[in-house]
Amino acid sequence: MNEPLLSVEALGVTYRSRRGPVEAVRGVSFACGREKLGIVGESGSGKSTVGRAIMGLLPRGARLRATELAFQGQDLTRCSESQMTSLRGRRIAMILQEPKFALNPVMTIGDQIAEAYRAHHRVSGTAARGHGLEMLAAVHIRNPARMWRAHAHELSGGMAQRAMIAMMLAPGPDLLIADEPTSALDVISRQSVLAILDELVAERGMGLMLISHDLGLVASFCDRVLVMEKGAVVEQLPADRLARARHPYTKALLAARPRLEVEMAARSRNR
Amino acid sequence: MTALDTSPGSRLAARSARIFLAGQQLILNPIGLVGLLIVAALVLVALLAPMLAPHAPDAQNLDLRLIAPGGDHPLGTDQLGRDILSRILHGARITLGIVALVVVIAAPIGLVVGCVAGYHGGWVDVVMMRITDVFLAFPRLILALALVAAMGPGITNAVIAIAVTAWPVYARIARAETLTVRGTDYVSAARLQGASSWRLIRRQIMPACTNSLIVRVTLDMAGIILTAAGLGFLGLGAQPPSPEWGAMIAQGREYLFDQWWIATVPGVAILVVSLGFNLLGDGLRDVLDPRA
Repeated sequence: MNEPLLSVEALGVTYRSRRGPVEAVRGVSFACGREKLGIVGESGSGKSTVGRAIMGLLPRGARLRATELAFQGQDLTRCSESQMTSLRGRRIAMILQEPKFALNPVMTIGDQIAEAYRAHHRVSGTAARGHGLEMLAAVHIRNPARMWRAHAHELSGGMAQRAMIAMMLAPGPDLLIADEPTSALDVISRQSVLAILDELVAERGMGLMLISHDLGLVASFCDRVLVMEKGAVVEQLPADRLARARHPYTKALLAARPRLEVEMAARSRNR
Repeated sequence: MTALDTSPGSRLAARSARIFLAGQQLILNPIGLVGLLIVAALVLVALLAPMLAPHAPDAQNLDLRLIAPGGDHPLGTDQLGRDILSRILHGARITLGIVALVVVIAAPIGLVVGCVAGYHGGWVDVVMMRITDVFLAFPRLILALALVAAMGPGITNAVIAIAVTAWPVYARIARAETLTVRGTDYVSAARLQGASSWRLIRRQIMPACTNSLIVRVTLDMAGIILTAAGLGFLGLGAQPPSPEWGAMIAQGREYLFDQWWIATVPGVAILVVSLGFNLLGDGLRDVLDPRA
């Protein structure tokens, strides 16, 4: 692994709640270079909170502490809000789970892509449009010009997620955090969206953090996997060695995966 | 992508189709249509006043004082022999001008205050909304009266005073709309793209607030007209010899029992125009606000 883009050391996030503080993330340490890093865990294991903490967009009432939280050597815990604003989108981008809700219903896709690009680059409308159309072509939209004029409600989930990827990658970030990018999609668009992500990450030499609850997907897609349980990292291992995981929690997660043969056998027995 | 085939060919086409559909809905609604016609008539009269008016609005003829409606003076003349019809037609310009200026001043202020307060929340929200509440706590006419009395009578000061009393309502509405939009995923997504707060408010939140604001502003125009006429009546708005409707009523007050038309005609004009704006506002609400 080359020099890390992001290094996290002993990251902790505490939410204030009525029944006292709740530790959502405890002592998480990892590094992410220009690679595909998967973070898996069940709901509530704190994996999305890690993503939001890196973006500096924790909800009100959350407290963050870390001995190190640095992006390309820049200490994120000491950044002012305006420094974070120039970092967000421009150098670290994040894709959300529900593409159809993450697009503004009253703006065309094109306007939103141009808007995302122009938030960071001082360019004319025509230049932003040219760049945006290129981005749409890069996410395998067959007719970018038509997509440019479309509104979110006219798109399928897969199309919307591709538009979202185009929008998030338009300013040219170095690290992309994808929080359950395919969970809301059907199986076929899931594959194509992942293929597009894979291609773009390889082409641009970006780092990718894929946050997912789907062990199978992470295992087949990522280089390395981080397994989280109750806010802590329990195991960190290369994806191809996931089958030989040591930690009981990882084993339990693997065992919990639905398997077609078992399901079929159970069903025929019931009959 | 076949689903996109029904979409219009260009942005312009889409926009004009939408305006056409909204217009069609408004016209199919009889109340809205009446309102639209009245307001359209007002605008037309204001534009063409010098051509439509049979006499100059301030031409005095003391031989023809207090003539009853009919003949050369369809709506009669006042105590100085001025033609009331001509004065009413020219007064439409003043009324429309006041309404337009107040809206141009008050609506953007309310929009910005409401969106900023709603988006930031916390103490920003508390401070801005309490200031808004201070303005809302006074009856509008009383507050406008106090302001004009302090600044001195005149049409400019009347416009400023009415604008100062009009924006808090818009701030309230904009804030309420902002609160519903603020939590949506697309606002988070825009923040993730690194949009600054102000950029986010301007590009994502304000467009979501405009529809309900337009409706509210249209409904408010009747109130603005009444307040302006009220100030004119009390001698704090437009000054004589300006043919402002409120001031005309004030001048006709002394003659009300013997020469009723001097005060009644501008009164009717105020009534009809206020009614027109109210009906138009109702119609627009039905068209623009799918929730109502």
